[in-house]
Amino acid sequence: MVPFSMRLLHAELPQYLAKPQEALDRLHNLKTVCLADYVLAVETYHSIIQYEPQQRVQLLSGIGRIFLQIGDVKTAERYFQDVEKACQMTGSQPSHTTCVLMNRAFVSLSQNNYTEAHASFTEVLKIDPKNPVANNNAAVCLLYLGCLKESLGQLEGLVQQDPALYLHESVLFNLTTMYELESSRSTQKKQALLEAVACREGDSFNTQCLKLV
Amino acid sequence: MDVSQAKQEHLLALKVMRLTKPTLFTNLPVTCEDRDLPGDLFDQLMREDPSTIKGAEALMLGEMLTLPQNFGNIFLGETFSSYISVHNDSIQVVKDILVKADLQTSSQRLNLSASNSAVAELKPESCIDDVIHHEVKEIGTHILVCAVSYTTQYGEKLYFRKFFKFQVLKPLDVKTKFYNAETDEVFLEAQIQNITTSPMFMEKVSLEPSMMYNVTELNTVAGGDEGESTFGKMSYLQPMDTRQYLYCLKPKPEYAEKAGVIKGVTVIGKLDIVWKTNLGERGRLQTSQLQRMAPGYGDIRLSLEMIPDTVNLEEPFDIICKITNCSERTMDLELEMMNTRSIHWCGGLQSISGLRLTDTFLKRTYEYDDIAQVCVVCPYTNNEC
Repeated sequence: MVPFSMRLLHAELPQYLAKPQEALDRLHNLKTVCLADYVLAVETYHSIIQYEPQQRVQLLSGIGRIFLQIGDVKTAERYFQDVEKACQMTGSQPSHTTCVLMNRAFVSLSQNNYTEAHASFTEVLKIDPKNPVANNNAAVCLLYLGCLKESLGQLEGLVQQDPALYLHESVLFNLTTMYELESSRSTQKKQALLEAVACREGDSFNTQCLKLV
Repeated sequence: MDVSQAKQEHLLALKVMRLTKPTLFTNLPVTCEDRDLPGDLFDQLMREDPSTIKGAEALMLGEMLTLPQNFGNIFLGETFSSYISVHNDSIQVVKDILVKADLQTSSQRLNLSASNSAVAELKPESCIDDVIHHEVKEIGTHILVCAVSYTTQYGEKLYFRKFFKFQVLKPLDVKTKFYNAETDEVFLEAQIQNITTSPMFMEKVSLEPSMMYNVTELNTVAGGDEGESTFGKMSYLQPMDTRQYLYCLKPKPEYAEKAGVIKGVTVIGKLDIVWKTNLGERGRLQTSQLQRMAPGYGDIRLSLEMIPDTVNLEEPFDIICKITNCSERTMDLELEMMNTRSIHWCGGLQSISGLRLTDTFLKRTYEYDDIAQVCVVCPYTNNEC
């Protein structure tokens, strides 16, 4: 793993080589999760939008999500409205429709409306049935609605159909959490997952997500 | 921490999972220059990663939801939500299952279950699910008590309980200070500190006045439709950060007359605080009724109804005073204005002094000096004064 300070150095270097744009691009990556300073993160995103206008929709949605993480749902909604306007101006691409639906789902989540959130994620799947994020998120909503079995079934089905895509850290976290909730025999199921992962992934895979220890 | 009571092997297993809001998965992108050895490899890997944002793979805050990984902290005013699952681990069909969830605090026992009726039968590998919600209104130890009773297929009635203990902590430290103005207005400063471990978005901090007062909130800067918060862009409160909120309370007209006469403790109102954290997780607290000691006015109270902020030099100006008899006896008062020395200034704050009230019955004189300040300015454009 590259140490963080080296990443930072790597990010700052281009500005001294007369490539400030590249420096900005890399810096925004780093700043975002050190989200101790949300205000700075949001400002950085805004400046990136000027350099990368083609990413406007994704970046505005990203800022909206930052505000959702803080708990400022109203400001998040304003950003998501800007996303809808930006999508309308560029004409309807499926990826933009997906983006708008995902944002709507997150707002529903923030308002404790898991039914609506599930409906929005399902709408995304009508446009893009293989969308891994929508599939995972729909399953998560089902759990909050008290449908453990259904949720597990959906996630397990996804892993079996397309292990290359779904044997991902976040999906595995969710699966193992649900196994633990489901029964006392979760260890066996988790080990089965470990075997599936071992066939595919290299040594750098974060096996902590399987919660075997 | 859960403590299981059963010594015998039960056919059913009960599991509990606290449902805080899910979190958004974050990626750690790895990139390199175009001309570096890996070339496009890292970008390709990021594009193939299902949790990255398509078209903006370097964005760290993704859209993938992750379930809560541990119980976490719980604070007064938040809502405790939990998944309760009863699973048939055996190979036989189980009948008449009743699941009850109660919350035991130091002062009371509350029933949290959504339904109180028994489930007729539960096949092997099936489960009974319930999601319970409870707004936490007490600090300290809470115990979630889950009780399951059922009948085996041979007619044997069995029962077990599980206990889950957790602590409810205090989320905010609230300090209040009162300031009395020369008029009947009272200013309240509320100092609020976030004593949790994560940032809070303060959605609402309002003062609900008691019936004697009208309140004006002084925490927005006028301008635009909504008005901007006095706290500017920092719309959230980091752990251990403090904020001061200011409110102005004016007695209602029907109480204004009595305002000067009130002695002792008066009830001002209470603070209503609503905050949000990750993905809209909500908390709400109300303080108890805030009280204020009325300042002692003695027998007679002199208060100001109207006075200009700024006056011109050597020009007369009007002030309106209100004199209230705060004692229990009748008074016959005479008013006398005495000239004081005024310094020849071209400006500055001047104090109004020299008001004398004499109670002719008791032959007692009340002196009022420094009752207010006015700013005296020179009305001439050049420095002619």
